[in-house]
Amino acid sequence: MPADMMIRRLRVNSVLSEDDAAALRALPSTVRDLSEGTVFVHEGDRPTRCCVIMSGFAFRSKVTADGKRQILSFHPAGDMPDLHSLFLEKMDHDLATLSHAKVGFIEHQHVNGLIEKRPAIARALWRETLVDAAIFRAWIVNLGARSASARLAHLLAALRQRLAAVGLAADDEFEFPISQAELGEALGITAVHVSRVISHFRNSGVLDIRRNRVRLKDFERLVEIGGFNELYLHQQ
Amino acid sequence: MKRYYFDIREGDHLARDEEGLMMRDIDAVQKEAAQSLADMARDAVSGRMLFRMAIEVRDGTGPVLEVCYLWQIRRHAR
Repeated sequence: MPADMMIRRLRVNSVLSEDDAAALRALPSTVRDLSEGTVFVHEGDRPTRCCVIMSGFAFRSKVTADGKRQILSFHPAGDMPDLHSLFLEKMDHDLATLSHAKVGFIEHQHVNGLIEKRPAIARALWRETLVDAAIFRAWIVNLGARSASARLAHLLAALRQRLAAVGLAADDEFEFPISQAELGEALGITAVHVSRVISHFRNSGVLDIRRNRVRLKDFERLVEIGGFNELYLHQQ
Repeated sequence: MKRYYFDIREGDHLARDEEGLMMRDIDAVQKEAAQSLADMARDAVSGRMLFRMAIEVRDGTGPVLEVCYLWQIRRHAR
């Protein structure tokens, strides 16, 4: 059921009654297993359905005219990264899997039906897109105004808070199946620079990233280095 | 594709790259090294000043390329 993680995610930011949750669970959906690196919604597409990440990670990206890819956001299980396609006809970026992922698809007409009948769900989805926009504002500050190590620290501190809110990070450890090249594409630095930043963090006992697993050994220090303030995530 | 190791020299300290990166050819290696050094120089300028940094690239058999930068600041006496 794609609905379970989605309900958990929506309840991080909104209050949903049991009736609302049951209505979300009753949404008809198609579930697909996608392999790593699958672009499942393309820039220019006109989607007729929304997706819910059920397991694994997805990311948004855009490619510049000279072929350079910028990763725009990461989406763990529970996220609905193309909710805006409900109201904006054409996709203005790509959506792809970072790892093997299970993705649920729900036809727009069914989501629209719920929005019309259930104001609490409409408000919850609206809040979701507002928090999404807040995350983008934080991303801009990160790339425009911080050093490489502060960028990585902020990214991982934010991811830890988002994952913990839906029960996917325990004891400051979580799965994050990403290569150094992809981290570079998210942070606007090269893979070699990413590797240097990680080895500095490893040597100073702040964190470790090995075999797709992030271990935060000193979360307070990480928060300080990244200048991370979780207010913008609006987690209740 | 071949594996190259990007060792980073900051002042007197050399950080050896143990993992390496798969690269298409020597042009891609040069681009990655130059871009990385530029990135690091940018951070060094606004943080802890380092006046000499270099990236020394090797493959399985030995050194293949080196990029380095020297940073100079001169304040004029007035």
